[in-house]
Amino acid sequence: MQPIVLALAGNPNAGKTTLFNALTGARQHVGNYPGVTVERKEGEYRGNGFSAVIVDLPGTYSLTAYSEEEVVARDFLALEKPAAVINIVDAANLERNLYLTCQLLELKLPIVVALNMMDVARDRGMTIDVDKLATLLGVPVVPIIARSGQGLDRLMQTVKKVVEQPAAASDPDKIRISYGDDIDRILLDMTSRIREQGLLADKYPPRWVALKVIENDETLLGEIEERAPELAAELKSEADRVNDHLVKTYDTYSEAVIADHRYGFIKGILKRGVITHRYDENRLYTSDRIDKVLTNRFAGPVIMLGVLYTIYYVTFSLSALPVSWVESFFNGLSGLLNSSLPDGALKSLLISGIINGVGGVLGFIPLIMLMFFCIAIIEDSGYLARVSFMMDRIFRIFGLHGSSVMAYIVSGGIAGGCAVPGVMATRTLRSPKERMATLLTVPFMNCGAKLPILALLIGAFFADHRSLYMFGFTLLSWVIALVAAKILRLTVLRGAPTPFVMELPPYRFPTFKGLAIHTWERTWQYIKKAGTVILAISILLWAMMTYPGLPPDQAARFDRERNRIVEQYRGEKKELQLKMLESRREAAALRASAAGRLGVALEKVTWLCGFKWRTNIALIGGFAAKEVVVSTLGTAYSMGQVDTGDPVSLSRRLARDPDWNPLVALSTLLFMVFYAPCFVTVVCIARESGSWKWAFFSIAYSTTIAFLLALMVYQGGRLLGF
Amino acid sequence: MPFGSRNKFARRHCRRACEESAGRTSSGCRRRLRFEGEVPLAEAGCGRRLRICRIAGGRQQCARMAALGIFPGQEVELVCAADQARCLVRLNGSTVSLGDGAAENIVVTAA
Repeated sequence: MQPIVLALAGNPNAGKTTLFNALTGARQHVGNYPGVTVERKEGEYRGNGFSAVIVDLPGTYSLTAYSEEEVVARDFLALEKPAAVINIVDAANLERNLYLTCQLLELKLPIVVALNMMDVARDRGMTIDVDKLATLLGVPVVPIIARSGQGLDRLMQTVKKVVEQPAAASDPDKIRISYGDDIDRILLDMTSRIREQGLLADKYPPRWVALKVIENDETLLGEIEERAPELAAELKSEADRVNDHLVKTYDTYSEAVIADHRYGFIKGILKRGVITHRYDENRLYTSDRIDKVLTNRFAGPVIMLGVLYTIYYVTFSLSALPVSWVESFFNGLSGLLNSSLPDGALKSLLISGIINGVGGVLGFIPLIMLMFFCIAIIEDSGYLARVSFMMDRIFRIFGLHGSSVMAYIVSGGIAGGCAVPGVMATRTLRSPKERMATLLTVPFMNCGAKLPILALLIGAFFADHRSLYMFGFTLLSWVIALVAAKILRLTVLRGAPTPFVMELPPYRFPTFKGLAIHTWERTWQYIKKAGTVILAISILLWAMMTYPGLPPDQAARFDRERNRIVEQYRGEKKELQLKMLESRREAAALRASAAGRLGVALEKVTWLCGFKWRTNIALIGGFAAKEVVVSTLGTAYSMGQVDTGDPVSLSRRLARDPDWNPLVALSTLLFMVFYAPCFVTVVCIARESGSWKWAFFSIAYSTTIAFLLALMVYQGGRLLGF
Repeated sequence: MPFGSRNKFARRHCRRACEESAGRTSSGCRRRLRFEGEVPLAEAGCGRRLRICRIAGGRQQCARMAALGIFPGQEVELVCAADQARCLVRLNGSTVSLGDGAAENIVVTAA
C-alpha cells in the first residue's frame, strides 16, 4: 500500500520545522532565521490511528517561482499531490501568513490550517476567532503551539478526517478571489482556453495556470511553451497586454495588483471579527525596540563585533581545559598500546594511523561543541538575521547580497561551520550571478574542519594570543572572500546588484532544548565524519606513508649501521645510539614511501612558501577533508617515534621541530585556510552551479590565491628577518 | 520602469495623505512632520506611519516585494534603525528589513 503523504507548507519562520520535529520525533535543525529548510525533508508520523509520511517543504511567501525554494515547494505540491497539506500559519502575523494560504487554496489542495504560536498572539493582545476563520476560509483551522506540543493531537485528527473525506472536510472551491475587472475578465477567458486544451491539467487547476501567466511566472511560462508553444505565445501576449494596460492606466505591474487584491481579500476576512486587538495594533513590540539599538547605525556594528569576539573568547577560554583532558586520554591510550603491543605494522597502524589521525580530530570536540553552542544562541535568538541585514551594506560594496551572509556564516564565517550546507544555503539568493559569486567564495570561511589545524598551530606558535589570532584569521578569511567576490563580480560574473528585502524574525528566547539539539546535531556530524571519512582517509594515508618502505640498498645500509653500533657500544650509550638510528631509519622510510615521494617532489615548488614534504603530504590529504591535515601531520610526525615510549602532543612536537617556526606556521595556516575546498564541497559546487567547469574553476582559483598569499607572507617574513 | 503617481491604488491613498499632511503643516504641526508630499522611504522620518505611493525597480523585484506585502497603497511604519539608506519597516504585524537599493526605490507619503 502506498503510504499517505502529507506536506507541511508555510512562511519562513512560521514554525514548520518545529512542528515537523514534534510530529515525527525527528531532530531537524530549527533556526530563527528565514530559509533554514532549503531542501525538503521527510519524516514518519504515527499516532491517532494512522501513519503518514510528512514532508517539510522550504518556507515560502508565495507559490510564484521567484526563487529555488518556491520552485521546490510548488513542484512537490503539484507533482506528488499530497493527501493533505498542513499549512502552518503564524497567528501573531496572520495577514502575511494567510497570503500563502490563499495561493494554496487556489491550487485546490486539501488544506488544514495549523494556527501556530497562539501564545505569542495572546501575549500581543490578539484574540483570534478560530471557528470564524475556518468558516470564512472554508477549510479546517486548528490552533496549536508547536513549541510546547499543544493541539497537535487535534491537528492530526483533523488531518486524518481530511485525508479520509477530502470533499466533506474542506471546501476549497468556496474561495474565489476577485482581482479587479481588468484581470478578472482576461482570467476568465484564459482559464476557459487552458481548460479546453487541457494544458498542464495533470498538475494545476486551469485558473491557477492562467493566474501565474498573468503574474509573469517565468518557470511556468517555460513549461507551457514546451507543451503548447502556440497557446503559450497567445497567453503571453494577452498577459502582456493587460500588464501594459495596467502600467499605462495605473502605472503598476499585474503582480502588484494581484498581491493588492489578495491582501485585500485577507483583510476583508480578518475585519469580519476574526481578530480583535486588545492593545493598539500599531504599537512597537519589544523586538522593534531592541532592533532600534542593535541595528543602530553606530552602535549596531560595534555590538556585532563585540558579540563575535565574545564568542571566540568564551570558546577558547572555556574549552582549554577539556581539550587537554581529551588530549591526555588519547596520549594515555597510545602509551598503553605502545607498551602492550609487539612492534610491527599493526602497532604502527593503530598508533600512527588511527589514534594520532582520528584522535587528533576528536580532541577538538569540546572546542567545537562550545562554538556550536554559541552559534546556536545567536541563531535561535534571531540576532543572526540582523547580522545579515547590517552586513548587507558591506556586502553590496563587494557585489554580494545580504543573503550571502547566511551562507558565509553557515560555512564558518563565525568559525566552526561547514561549506557544504553553506553552498546549499546560497539557494536563498535570487540573482544567479550573486549566487555564483557567493558559491565560489564561501569555501574560504573557517569551517569546523579547519578549526583543529588553526587551533593546533596557533596553540603551538602563538599561544599567548590565541583568541586574537583566531579572530584575526576569521576576519582575514572574510576579507579575502569579499575581495575575491568583488573580483569575480567585476570579471566573470558581471551584473547589476539586487536589492535586499528580508523579513526579520522577532527576537525569541532560545530554549535549552533547542540549543542542545543544535549543538549536539552539529557535533555529532563532526564525530561521525571523524569515525568514517576521516578514519578511512587516515588509514589510506597511513598506508601511503608506510609503503613501499625503504629500498633494499638503503635498508641494507641501516642494517650495517646497526650491526656496527651493536659491536662498538655497550650499555646505555648503545641504547641511545640505536634509538637515534631507528628514528633516522623511520624518517628515511617515510620519505621513501609513496606519500613521502609525492611530498618531496612537491617541495620543489612549496619551498617558496616554507612547506616541507611532511606538510605537503598533509595538505594533499586535506583535499579529501580538511580535518585530515591535522590527522596526517599527527601521523607524519609520530612515525619514527613509535619506539620512544614517550608520547608527546603534536603541538609540542611541532614547536620543537626544526622545520617549523612561527613564520612557517603562519604561511601554512594561510595556505590551508584558502586553498582548494574539500572534495565534498567541490562536488556540491558542481551540483549547485550545474557544471563541473565551475567546480574546477573553484579549485584552481582558490589554490592560486592561497599559494600567492603564503608565498608573500613567507618570503616577506624572511626578508624582514623572521 | 518606475510606478508613477497615476497608480490608482496609490493615488487613492496618497493624494489624501498629502493634502492632509500639507494642511496639518500649515496649522502648526511643523515639528511633528518632517516632510511634505512624497519622499523616498530612505528619507522619511522614524516611527511614523507612511503609505507607499510607488515602487521603482525591475518587474520581478517589485513582484517579490509585493508578495511580502510591499506594494503601492500599503501602509507601513518605519521603525528606523540602521542608517538612512537601510530601513526596518513594520507592516502586517511583521518586521521587514530593506537594503540600500530597496529603500531608495520606495516612494512614500505620510499616512
